[in-house]
Amino acid sequence: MKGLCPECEGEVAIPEDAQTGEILICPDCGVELELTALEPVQLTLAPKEAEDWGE
Amino acid sequence: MKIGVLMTRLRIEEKWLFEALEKRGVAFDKIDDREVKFDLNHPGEWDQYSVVLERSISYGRGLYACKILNGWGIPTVNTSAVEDTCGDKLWTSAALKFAGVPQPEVRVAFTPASAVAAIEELGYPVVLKPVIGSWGRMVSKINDRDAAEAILETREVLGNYQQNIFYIQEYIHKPGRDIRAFVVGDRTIAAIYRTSEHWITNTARGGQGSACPVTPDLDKICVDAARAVGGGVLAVDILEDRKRGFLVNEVNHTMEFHTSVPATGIDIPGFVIDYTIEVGKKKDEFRAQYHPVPHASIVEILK
Repeated sequence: MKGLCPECEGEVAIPEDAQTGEILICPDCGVELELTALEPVQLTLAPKEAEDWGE
Repeated sequence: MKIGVLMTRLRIEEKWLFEALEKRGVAFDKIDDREVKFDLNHPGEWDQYSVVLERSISYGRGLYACKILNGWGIPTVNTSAVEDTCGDKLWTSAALKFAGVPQPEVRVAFTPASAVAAIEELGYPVVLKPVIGSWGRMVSKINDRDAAEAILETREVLGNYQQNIFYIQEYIHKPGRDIRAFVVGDRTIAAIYRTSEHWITNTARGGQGSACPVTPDLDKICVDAARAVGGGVLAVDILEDRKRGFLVNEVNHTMEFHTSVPATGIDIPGFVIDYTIEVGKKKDEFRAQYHPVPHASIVEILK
């Protein structure tokens, strides 16, 4: 499976065991992408780290 | 039994947790915290869950969701009271102090001038931390008065009132590492050393994890720290001081363990899920006994 990076339109390989919600890195531009759907593959820009993110 | 897993991102930790749930044949829902909404009058579909495992990356979303769920009598791992305490370094220090758990010296001040005075009372270097924050963000080691004044002034004009709650911690000359220990219920199940050439050893900031033996002393201080903040599934950060031994640095309530599972070989997600299932079995007891505002009412005290 493959998807298109919404930032640079680069091709992003989707691992076979990928699940929705997973974060992938665009190999062309390095932006973080969220896999929001599998059939068909949909990639969106991942939310940016917020001030209260952590553990 | 059905478990809700509240999450922001699907990280490797969440994948492992889902695998552990599937392995145990427990029904569960993945709940995206960006999509949830609450009507305080009606739990609605939330009441189908025996327990909600809170895995939000966002402290605020996780905390407020758990407050609402606990208010409805739906147990969460961890409870909102624990999240309240662990999410705020000053509350954590107060809880540790109240329980007599060893920690580095802490001073608190509300203005740059009083903060400089507090820093100089402790002696340089010190560590200035935001009361709410994670992954080592905005944590500063202050070596002298020039640096203190510059950093305190910057915090003062940042605009966020929390930046003006100056949490000042004694700097511990640790041996190039700290310890991250995992407590589930009443037991320290695993620990790693986090080693770094930088004084900040968070794995989120490049610290390297390696197995650390869970000695009786380490187990005791970690379990004591976990109990002090209310107990549950917690990651306790420990500093090693040459004279005083183990000191509790922080307690984390939505722990990450992607480094620790391969370093220790311990099935941390399995322990987390087993604990969550046990909490879910006690939903009726939780509903009957847990009070989301646990403090004694001043009105009762005055009677």
